[in-house]
Amino acid sequence: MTENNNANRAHSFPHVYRIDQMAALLWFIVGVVVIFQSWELDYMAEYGPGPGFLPFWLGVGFISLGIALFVKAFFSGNRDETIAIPNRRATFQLLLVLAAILGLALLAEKIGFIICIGLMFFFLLAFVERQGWRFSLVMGIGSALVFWIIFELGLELRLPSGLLELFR
Amino acid sequence: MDIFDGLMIGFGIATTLTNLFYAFFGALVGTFVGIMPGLGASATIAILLPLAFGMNPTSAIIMMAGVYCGSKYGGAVTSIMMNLPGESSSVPTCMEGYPLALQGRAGPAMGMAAISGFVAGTVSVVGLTFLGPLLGSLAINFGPPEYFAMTFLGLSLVTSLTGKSVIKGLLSMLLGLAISTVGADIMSGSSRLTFGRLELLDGIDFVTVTVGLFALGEVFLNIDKQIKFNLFDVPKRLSELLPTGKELIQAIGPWVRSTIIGFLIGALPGTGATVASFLSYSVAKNVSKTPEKFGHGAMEGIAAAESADNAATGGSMAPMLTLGIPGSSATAMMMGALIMAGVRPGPLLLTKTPELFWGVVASMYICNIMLLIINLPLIPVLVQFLRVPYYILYIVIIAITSIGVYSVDSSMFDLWVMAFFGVLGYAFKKMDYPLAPCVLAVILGPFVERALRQSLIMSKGSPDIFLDRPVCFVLLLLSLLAFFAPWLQEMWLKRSRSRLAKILLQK
Repeated sequence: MTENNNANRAHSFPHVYRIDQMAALLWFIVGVVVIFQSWELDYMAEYGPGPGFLPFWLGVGFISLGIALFVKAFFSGNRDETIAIPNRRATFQLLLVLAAILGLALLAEKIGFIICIGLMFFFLLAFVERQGWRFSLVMGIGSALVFWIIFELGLELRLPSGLLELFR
Repeated sequence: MDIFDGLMIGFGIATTLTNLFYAFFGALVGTFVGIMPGLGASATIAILLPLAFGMNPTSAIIMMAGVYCGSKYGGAVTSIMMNLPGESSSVPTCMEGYPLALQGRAGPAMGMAAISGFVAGTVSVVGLTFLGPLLGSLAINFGPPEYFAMTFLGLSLVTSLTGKSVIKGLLSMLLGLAISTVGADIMSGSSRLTFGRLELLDGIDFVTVTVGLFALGEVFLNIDKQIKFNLFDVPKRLSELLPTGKELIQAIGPWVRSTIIGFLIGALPGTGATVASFLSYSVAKNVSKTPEKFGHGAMEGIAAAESADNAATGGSMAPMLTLGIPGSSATAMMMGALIMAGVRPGPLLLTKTPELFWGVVASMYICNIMLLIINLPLIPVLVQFLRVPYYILYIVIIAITSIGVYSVDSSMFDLWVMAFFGVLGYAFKKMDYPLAPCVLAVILGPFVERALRQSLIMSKGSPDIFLDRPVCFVLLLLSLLAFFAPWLQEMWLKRSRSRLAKILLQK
């Protein structure tokens, strides 16, 4: 059975039409940025479209559809539908998971990809999932070993070695 | 030598103990590596190339054909169990397989994928046997206008993938097209939407986008929902591990249609399997009696997508073997292995080394049977992974996807991009934006633009080139039909229901 911790479920519910209006504004801005970028390129080439042709019309598309979304949300008859947003704990966990991924990207070349994967397992299990130090440590070391066997030895992928280079 | 003589010779070669072992080895390795995003058939074949140096060329290509066929199934497993498409052609399988897994039907979904793959793969090899040379020469006549029309047809399927909001679906598609323009323009060399970043000059790979949007986005969503333990119900009985008889009967239509689509379109170099998979999925949705099930776990959708994907393997082998023109990066690797072994694929292959051609064709029949034998019993084993608590599983997913994305270009920057798309995928799911149009556009965008510009260069700027070529014209008409298909279907359904209501009232 799927288990949900209902005590930590979302507690605030913004309306869908409001979110759509904000999103419409964002799409409008994206459209403007894309059009500005396209102006630096040639719109037409000797025969047919140049490199700026598609980005320009994509920008026009973003702006048009952004306006359409805004209008649709404005005149929406359904003002009751809401979007559940995560509560504080879930938001904190999401940010930590994202930080773990970005940490992997930052440190993998210096420390080693496989070592970073082990560290990521440890960090997420210990601090995000609160599973206990010993379990997290065992999983961290075990996962690093398993990934090393499968990917470096088995598939011969060239992942950054980092500190493991000292042992080669 | 006629076809049946050739096949007899081929089976004689393919059924030697050595070649049976290589077919089995290739199929098994292909299945497991197909699970890895960014590590598809072509990367696996590249890893096995050194092994192929010392081997008999026929045995080497039999092994690689096994890898190619096996990787298709591996892609389906992660699509269903983790919402993680192994290849671009697995995206439609994600859209139906993962919701089925959430309903506790991961086993039947994988069973349907395996059986569909077997049926379509076998039929496509029959097609390769009888139509290989003809298909190869048809493929070579596809020029830029036809490519533009075909890839435009692929893009026009987006309206079948938009879900509740067409505006959000079109915005998703536009975003995919914008992503596809990032990087150096292939014709002029100008950098587009790179914002001065050197790392973006090579563009953004579809694997990074797909993995971020689908897999990471889903991980973030499940963390939001605070899922800690089993994400799905784990099937207990054998009957819960395979599709029902009714589902198999309903899959016959998709099998037939999708196998034909997959085989024909799979022969076209480049986007064959992806366009075939999406097109078959869209056709299945539009002709289904229950289109509302699509997107929420429709077995017909899996049957259509997997049939097309596997049928495309036979189709893509045709131009490589008969004309010496590889249809995909995987067939390009196979061709490289053959050339290194002193065998030149092409029109003379059938006459100079018929045993190799027929040996490969026969081994593909055998590989398809082997894959069914390997993969159906594997389902109960694979399904046990569902017992792994989700708080461990999502970390495994992050680790695997990170390795997969890094392995594409050996660039750490890609991990940042993947994380960005993970956040975007999460936001899209929360706000009901469909992901499939974005991914479809990322894959097809470069082909559409390049083919359009090449066509207009050929015609010196005149758009008549698209109307003067019959295949191109027909494909463009089909594109219009595909774009408006959901509304046409809705009108047709409304009319049918009102006629039925009138008849019932009269009674």
